[in-house]
Amino acid sequence: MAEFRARYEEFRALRVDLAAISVDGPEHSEPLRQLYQIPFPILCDTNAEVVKSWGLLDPLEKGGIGRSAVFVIEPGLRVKYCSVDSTTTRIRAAELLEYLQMSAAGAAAAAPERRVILPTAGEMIRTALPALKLTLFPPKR
Amino acid sequence: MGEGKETLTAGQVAPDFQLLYSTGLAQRLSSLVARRSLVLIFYRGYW
Repeated sequence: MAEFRARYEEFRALRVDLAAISVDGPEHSEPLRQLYQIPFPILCDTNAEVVKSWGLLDPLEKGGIGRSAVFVIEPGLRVKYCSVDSTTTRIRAAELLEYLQMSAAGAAAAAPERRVILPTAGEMIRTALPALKLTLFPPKR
Repeated sequence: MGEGKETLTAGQVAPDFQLLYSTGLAQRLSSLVARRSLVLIFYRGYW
């Protein structure tokens, strides 16, 4: 999210606006917007109407919290692009920006994929193996 | 969960909505995208 804030002007240069949306009310969202100096508006889907009608209700959540997602909506309300985050993957602002830049230039652009945000298998093995070894073969006293 | 709604996908027409900005101003999605495209970021409670 901070990444979208940092690259806001680049989206604007492509004649693309940004807006955030969450199920939080203004009493929560407005202080957040001011605290982080978010340059675009935050919409308050307080009754989770949009989250429900766009099919973003998280089945694992009881409180009606929507899933994190990024949509690009064109004039005429057509969905140009959509990426719904999973627990481990999400779309990066940089990649979305690149895709929109290519689309604006008239090039056939492949829609960007979400990126894995978990450590790679290699990183996990490197960090987990020494701990496992220590558990299985504790140093003799 | 029983809501059973399919997630909106690329190529579909988004259902319009009217919501309040955190500043209190009412805004329709169709007005937001009248002249430009919009990146709409659904987030959950934190940044």
